[in-house]
Order: sequence, then structure tokens, then C-alpha cells
Amino acid sequence: MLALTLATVMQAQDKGLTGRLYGVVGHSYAENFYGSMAMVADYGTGKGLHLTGGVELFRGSGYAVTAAWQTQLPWPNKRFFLYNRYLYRLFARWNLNEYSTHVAVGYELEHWRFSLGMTNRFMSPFHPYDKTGSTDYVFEPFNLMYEIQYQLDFGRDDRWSMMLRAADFDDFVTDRGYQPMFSVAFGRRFRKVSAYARTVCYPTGMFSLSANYYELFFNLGIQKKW
Amino acid sequence: MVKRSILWLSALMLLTACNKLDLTGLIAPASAEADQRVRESLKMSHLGGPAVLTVGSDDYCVYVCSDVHTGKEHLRLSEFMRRQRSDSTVAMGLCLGDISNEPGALMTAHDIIAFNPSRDVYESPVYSIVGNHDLFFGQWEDFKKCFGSSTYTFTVATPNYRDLYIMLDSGGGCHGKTQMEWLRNVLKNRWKYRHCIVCSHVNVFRTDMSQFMSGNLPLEETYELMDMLASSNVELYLQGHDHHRKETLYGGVRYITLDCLKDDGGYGSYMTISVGSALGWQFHDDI
Repeated sequence: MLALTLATVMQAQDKGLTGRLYGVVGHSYAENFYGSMAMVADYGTGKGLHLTGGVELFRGSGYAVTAAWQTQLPWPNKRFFLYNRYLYRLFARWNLNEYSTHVAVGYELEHWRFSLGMTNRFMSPFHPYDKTGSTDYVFEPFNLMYEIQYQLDFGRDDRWSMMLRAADFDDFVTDRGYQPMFSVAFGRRFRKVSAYARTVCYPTGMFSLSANYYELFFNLGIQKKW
Repeated sequence: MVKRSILWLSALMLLTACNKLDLTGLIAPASAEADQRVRESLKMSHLGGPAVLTVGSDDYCVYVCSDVHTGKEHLRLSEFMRRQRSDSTVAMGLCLGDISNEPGALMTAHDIIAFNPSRDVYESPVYSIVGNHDLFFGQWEDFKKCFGSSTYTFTVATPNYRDLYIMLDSGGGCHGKTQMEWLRNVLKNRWKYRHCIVCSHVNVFRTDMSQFMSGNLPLEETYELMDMLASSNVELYLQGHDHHRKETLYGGVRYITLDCLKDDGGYGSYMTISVGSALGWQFHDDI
């Protein structure tokens, strides 16, 4: 997923290391206002393989760690890719560990990007509740993961980029299919550093639930390539 | 997966055509949003029963149903009410949301739930909460008229104990900050009570494929709720929404999802809870 975001807002290079640092401020129905800081690194081998890792310190007394790899599939036209990500999140204030695994197949065109996959989730307390007989873990076997994205570079030397995206996952979030995140981002490439801003909005649910506003957050970050 | 998706899309189109599902809810709230509903609820009382229900014994029984989806037919709800009010040990009933299946049906359900001397033997109240279908087509206004508050507590006072029941509104897919803060304050007094049971409509966990397209609470709210309930020694958390029975134990809290009790839903059941020194429960499929 990190690879996906890097490859979109600020095109990650096919070969070499790309680093990204950004801040998040947001408001949600569950938490009111919150903030976080995140750092993500992506290494491209130049042969279609990307290795990605990142860490986020967030929302007061919590953090998230992620590792992912993405590889181009050799058939039929090198536009298909396979994506696999592992995400761990600690919510210390709620005494909870969350582990999720995300597997997806995607298809990439010049401006468009699609992916479809699944994730599971394992939840357990960070400090066990002292209660006899409690299993103290919950396993969610399946959530549908999807992404539809459009990106456009424009301006002199394509210095500017714009991205529209609807997906149920983000850098450090693996959400659920009925809760899509709608995002719009703008980026500006300078000599060695790029800067970008993004806003994301999502509802509490769809289909069997009313689409109440749930969360809105903003990203502001820089990216550097080596 | 593909087959299931096609079935869901077909069902959505059919339901839209027959006033069952408010598709405007895909892009905009179908009723007032969570925080507004909670503020309204906290200003009024629930009309289904008294805030303090006095019973004559320390042991009593509670009848629980969910997702009755009242429409033109309501045989199962009528039978549920007949059984509840034929049982002398019953203190009250609980109805966990999705009472309505189409505009106007909340009034019908309200009439069925009301005490009916020609059908009922013992008078016992029914405490209800709102479900997502009760919000479609702006039905929150109907819910308030028929049942009053959807965020409230009531106490069952036995000769020697008091038991706390907390009823929550998750019909819009989340409880919201206002209601979560209210819940946290209510749970501070948990120690005063023998038992504590919390009821809400939307499911906390997503532990099997029966919930493929049905919504749950948002993750952050789920995690906050799990910790709050476990830290406060809540014993039971009752839910509907999914139409498929399941039980999950986490942090000493037993999360139970009920089957539906709708007439055209095929398999259905309701639940009875035996409240005494401990809590016991069983499902009844013969309805």
C-alpha cells in the first residue's frame, strides 16, 4: 500500500531509494481532532520489484509499522502487479494490538491504477485483561480491499501532479469495503525534493448503513529520491 | 465471490424498487446524523418502559429479539410478543433495532409491541433501539414518536440487587463521540450494579463471511468500545444487524449477535436471558 501511494502522488522511482515524510491532521467521529507523523521508504530494484517500509506515530500513545513488497507480473503485458503488505498497529490508549495482512492483484495504466484483493485482521490486548476464560483475541478472516485511482502530471516539465483516489486502505490503515476513502492530492516537484498535500474523506458506511460523515484528514509531506 | 456480488447488486436493485432500501443513504445521511440523534435522545425518555423497572424476584427472564423488519407481515413479531407476555417470569423484552422494513412500518410495529389484552397475559415492557433500517427514508422522526429515546439506560430493581441495561444508537454505523463519552460516564457507575448488559444494533466484530456486505462500527470506535467494556466488567454486549447468530468472548465480555426475526427471512430465532446470580441464555429456533 505504501508502494501504491508513493507510486501515485509522487511517482516512486523504478530503481533506487525514495523516502517520504509527512504529517497528518484530522477529525473523526470517534476521536475528534488528532494528529500523527509518518515516514515511509521505498526501494525499487529496477526490475519491477519494490520493497517498502514505514512507521507512523499517531493519535497519542500509538504507532504503526508496515512492510510491503510489490512485484510486476511478467505476463501478459507487464501491467499487472502483485502486492503484499503487513501492518501492525498499537493503540496503547485502548490497550490493543492489530495485525493485518493485505494481498492484492493490480493493473496499472499510464494514468489509472486499479487493485483488488483481501485482508485479514487479528486483534488482541496489549496487556491481557485479567479475566479467566477469556479468549482475548479476535480474528477477522476476510475484508475486501480495492483501489481505483487516477493520476495526472501537468505544467512545465510535468512538475505538478494531481491524484484522485477511492480505496478502503491507506498508508497505515486497512479498513473495510463499505467504508471507502475518497482522496484528492496535489504534488509539486522541485530539484531534489517533492512536496505534496492530500485530503481524505470517508463515511461511516454504505450499502446497509447510512453514509454519515465519519472522518476527514489532511496530509502534508515531502519526498526525496536518492 | 462474483456470484455473491451479483446477488447483492440484484438484491439492491429489487429492494430499491420496493421501498425497502434507501439508496440515498449511499451518498448522504438518510436521517439525522449520530451526534444529533444522541443529543435528541438524551433530552427525552424512552417510551417503551420505565427507567426503573421493579421486579419481585432476584431471578428473572428477559426476551430479546432483533431485526424483525416489520412490513406488511409481522407474524413472528406477534408470536414473539405473545410468548413474552405469556411467561410469568419475564421482566421485559429487548428489541435490538431494524424494527422497520419500509416507511410507516414503525407505527405498525409499535402497535404490535403494545400490550394487547386479547393476546397477552402478563404485562411487561419492551425496550427498543434504532437500527439502520429504522433510519432509512427519514424514519428517525417516526422512531422518536413511537419509541422515544434510543440512547438511554434503565435499571431492573430486584428485592436485593439492581441490574444496569445500557441501550445505544448505532443505526448510522457508528456511536459517535457524544454517545461514547456518555457511555464512558455511565460505566463509571457500573460498580453499583449486579449485572451490566449493553445493547446496540451494528456489529462490533466481523468474524465470518455472513457480514460480507453488512457494515460494522468504525475500527477506532470498535477498539475504544472493546477496551471500555472490558475495563468496566460489562458482561453481555447484544447486537443484531447481521441476521446470523454468533458469540465472541473478548476481555471477559460476551458479544452476542442475534439471528433475525423477520417473516420472510427464512431461518430466525429469538433469545432469552436468565438473570440471577449469573447470566444464562438460550436461543429459540421454534418461531
